[in-house]
Amino acid sequence: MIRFSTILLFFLFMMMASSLVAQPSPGSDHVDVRMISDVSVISPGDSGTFGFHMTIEEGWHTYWKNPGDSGIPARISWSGADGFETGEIQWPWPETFQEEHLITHGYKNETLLMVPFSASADLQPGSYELTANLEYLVCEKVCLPAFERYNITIEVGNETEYHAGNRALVSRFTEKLPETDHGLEPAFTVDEGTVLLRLTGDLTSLGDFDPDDITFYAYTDDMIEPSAPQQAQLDDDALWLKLQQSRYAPGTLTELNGVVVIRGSEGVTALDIQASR
Amino acid sequence: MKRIALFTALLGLALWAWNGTIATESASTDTQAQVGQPAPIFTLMDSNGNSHSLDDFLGQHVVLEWLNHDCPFVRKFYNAGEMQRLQEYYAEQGVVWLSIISSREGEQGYQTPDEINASIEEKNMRPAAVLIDEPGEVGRMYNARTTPHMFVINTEGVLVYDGAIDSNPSANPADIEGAENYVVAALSASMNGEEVATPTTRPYGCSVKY
Repeated sequence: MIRFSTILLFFLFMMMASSLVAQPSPGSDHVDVRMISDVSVISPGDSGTFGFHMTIEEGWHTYWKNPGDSGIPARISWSGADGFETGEIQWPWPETFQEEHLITHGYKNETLLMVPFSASADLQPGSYELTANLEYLVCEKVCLPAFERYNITIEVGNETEYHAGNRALVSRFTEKLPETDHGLEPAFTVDEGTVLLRLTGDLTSLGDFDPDDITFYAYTDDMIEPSAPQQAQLDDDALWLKLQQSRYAPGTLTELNGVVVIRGSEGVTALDIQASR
Repeated sequence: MKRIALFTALLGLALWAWNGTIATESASTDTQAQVGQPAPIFTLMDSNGNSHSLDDFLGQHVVLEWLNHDCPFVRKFYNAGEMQRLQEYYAEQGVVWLSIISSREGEQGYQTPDEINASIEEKNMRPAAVLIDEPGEVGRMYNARTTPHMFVINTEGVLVYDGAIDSNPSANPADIEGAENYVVAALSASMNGEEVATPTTRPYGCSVKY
């Protein structure tokens, strides 16, 4: 009886211990992640940006917020963040990957996942430590999960001070966030699963591009089928995109939210699209 | 109002013109699995050399589980003992659980019959059979995308669930608890003669290595 309860206790202990001990993180061998803040000192009531700068091994990729046919986007949970408010991840526009028979959306080489944060107005000056638990998946032919923990110390002071290098990094990737003030009007129709998106307005601002170099990425996985071919057409005052409704759509789409990425001759333009029908 | 009508008319016109010039893609054929339709019949060998045909199991519920033991999402459920628990529980309820490996030889997750049997023993697996689907014909018939990818077939042979194992797409075993298991939900509903509330979801995991 004593032995039995000892064994039971041992297992209970092991179970508790295993939930405390960090997860094995095989994906970490293929991605180097550095957590940064664009501010070194923050004044109460001000805001800044945290960044998770991922340097990804050649041949491997991580995922965008809507990963496509498979894959999983990164997730971040925060602790010790009393007095700080952290927002949603801001995702630079993605690239398309072909994985076997599937199409996925994500990043190769390098990306920066940005999280806006603010210090509450009544914070006392001093040092504050925040902890971010980051979970992501990295894939080549095989996929490996990663579970990492980062601690960052933020000084609260009278005046916000920026870290020049980190601020430059953040602004380099802020340029890769979908533009919201592009001035183009989106509208769409759905006919038997075929989604026709129309953008009207001043298309000259988009520069020179070939309609074949346009991709629409929906923000969630229940709108557009990632592996269905997309077609774009340009006429005098409108850009048309023909897409296929997702098999996971809960009915005929009433909203279409995503990013139109135009890989033009002078660079990439990414347009935030928020359309309802 | 006028502008909307005009716009709708224009869109309709554009759609019509477009359909005329560009052929629309249609992937579905008679042999493709589709929720609400009879599940495509297949016959596969298991790891012991026995042949199993889906129509042998009419009158019973059938679960299809796409399997690759080297995939972290599969390991999430096997290392926690959750997949085995479900296999055992539903076997007691008369459900036929078929685990299917569609990995091509040389690819991740491929196992010889002996290796499959060793995994069954080592991991204490409790499926009715582990079926070998090389070169992936049945996987393609069901459009199995990931491991795991789960399907539930009712007693009349109709596919009633196609999708993820649960509602929390994560490789973290700690996320099993608290997630809604869609296979459990589909089986519970179907065994009670009710409609499956969530018949299709996006599966998550590793791509099937066809």
